[in-house]
Amino acid sequence: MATNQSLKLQNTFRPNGRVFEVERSAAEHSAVVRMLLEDFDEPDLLVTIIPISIDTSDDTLAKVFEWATHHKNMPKPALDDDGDRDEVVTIQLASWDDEFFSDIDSETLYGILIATNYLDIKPLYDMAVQVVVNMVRGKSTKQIREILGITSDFTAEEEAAIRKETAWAYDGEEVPNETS
Amino acid sequence: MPPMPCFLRSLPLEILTKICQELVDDTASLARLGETCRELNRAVVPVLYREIEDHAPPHRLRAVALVVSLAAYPSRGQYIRAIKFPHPSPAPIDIQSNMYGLYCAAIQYLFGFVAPVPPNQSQLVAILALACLAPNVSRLEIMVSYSWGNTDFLLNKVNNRVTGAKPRCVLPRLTSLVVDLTSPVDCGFNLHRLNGCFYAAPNLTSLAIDRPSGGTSLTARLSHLTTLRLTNALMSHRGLRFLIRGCSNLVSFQFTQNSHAWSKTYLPVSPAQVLACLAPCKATLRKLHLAPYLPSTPLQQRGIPWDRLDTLDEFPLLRQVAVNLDAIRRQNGGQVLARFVWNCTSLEGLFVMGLEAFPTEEFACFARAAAIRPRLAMLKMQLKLELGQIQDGGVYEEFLNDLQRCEQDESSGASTMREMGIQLQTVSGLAVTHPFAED
Repeated sequence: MATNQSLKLQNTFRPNGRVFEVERSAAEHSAVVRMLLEDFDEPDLLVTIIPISIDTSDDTLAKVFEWATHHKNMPKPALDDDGDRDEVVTIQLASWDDEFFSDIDSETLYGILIATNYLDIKPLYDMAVQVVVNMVRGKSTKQIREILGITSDFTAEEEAAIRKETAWAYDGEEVPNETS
Repeated sequence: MPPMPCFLRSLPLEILTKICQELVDDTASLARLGETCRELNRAVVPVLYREIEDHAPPHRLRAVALVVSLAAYPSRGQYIRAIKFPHPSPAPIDIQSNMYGLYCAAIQYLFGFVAPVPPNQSQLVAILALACLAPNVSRLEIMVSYSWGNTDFLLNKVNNRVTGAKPRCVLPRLTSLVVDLTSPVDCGFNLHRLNGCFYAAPNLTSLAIDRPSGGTSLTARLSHLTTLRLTNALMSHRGLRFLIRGCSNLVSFQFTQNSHAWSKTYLPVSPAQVLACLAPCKATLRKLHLAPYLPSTPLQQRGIPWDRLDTLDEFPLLRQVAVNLDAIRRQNGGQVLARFVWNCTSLEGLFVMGLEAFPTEEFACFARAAAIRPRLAMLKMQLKLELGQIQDGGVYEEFLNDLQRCEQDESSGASTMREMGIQLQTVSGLAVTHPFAED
């Protein structure tokens, strides 16, 4: 199998989407692309442009393919591995991935989540989810609102009721009494 | 820098749920995320409540706090599907606290207790109260302590006769109950303590209990049970019979008995008696894993009736059998296992434990019988020792020679056996938890 061949992918969600030329081994991080390669005639796919339809910008897709190209030699999970595990696995980001995520803004992170979920690029999807989880873990409600730019739409009474209802989840920790 | 507009709110529910699921080990952070805005609250609540698990051993008030919360907000109980409490010890509740008052009120409403709950009952009561407040809970996993009381408080009793579960103590969706015993003592967990729970969960289909004992005073019938696992059991014939007597739909039955813990206060159920107890589910039983107590010296010599297995003819649908070779009757010379396999016409998988006792002269005969069985797709045979550790060849060497000879002999159906994949496993004990992979 020639792994250095390139595939052409175009986002057709908006008109005049950019055509990305991605090395086959990088594009194969996407389970969707791999299924296409398995199901259809490979020579045809190699010369035609594969349309994908994701509500995300070309710049975000470029970031996704940048990650896939950098990790093109990484082993890919089997197609029938749905990745559902009972236990929660905390993913440690490698230094390159850490840098990759450090210079992206919320909009791009949103786009990466959408794109990797659509294209089924599990490692990058898991990492993006982990980045969001790290934004939330161990933070107070006020801090989470600040980090994620959330404006509360609860009344003070509703907020107090929710705190009372979920008091069990704090396992004896003092429930932070804070206001937004 | 002004904050970015919240991108989380625009994410599809599928991705939001995935983010919430990654936080289930940190319920405090997950709860705080749900406090930020309505949209995120809608995504967080089903995940937060779906599986209630006590992740934090030092803070064991979770069951009590949840009961208080669910009593005040009953609609949240509908999200709970599974409850896992791996800590049997009760939490030290401050009786002066507001929570204690609310908890007592909830317990009184559910179970009718008017006096404070005794300390040895408190965790059991809290967990069952939690289950009763979660109408959709289907799986309950609890770690019990030997000192726990029983679950009779779930019962309605008229003139001291049980008339069923109390109206507020019914667990209609509970289908799976797993009970583990924390204490290393060998006296087991008396099944009578679960009698009330069995009444309250009439639709139980799967029951797994570690070190069950007693059972002779059980009155509940588990008529919907399809899977029953009794591991390291300390049970007599009568106790097992009382537990199984209403189980006419049993499909999978596992029974391993703790051979080193016979306290001499009861006579452990014999292999033949186990099969006799299974009579109500003759027409349904498909999987049988049997490693019962096996006396080192024949009990008959001491005037105690003790019968090994003779045949499985009465269970025509048996497809997977894992059995200790010592549990099979040794009479009429050799070919015992061969006849055993021959009589099991629907057998698809066989796991024979304890090959040390295998009469080597029988092997070729057994192999032929196994090879002829058209449906038998898996055959595993287990030795206790590593093959490399066998210094004195003896029975092992003869056995391995037989195996080789059988494989070389075309008439013995060796190729078929190879296709079946005979596996010689070497493990340190006879009690195998899951003999078949799909378990």
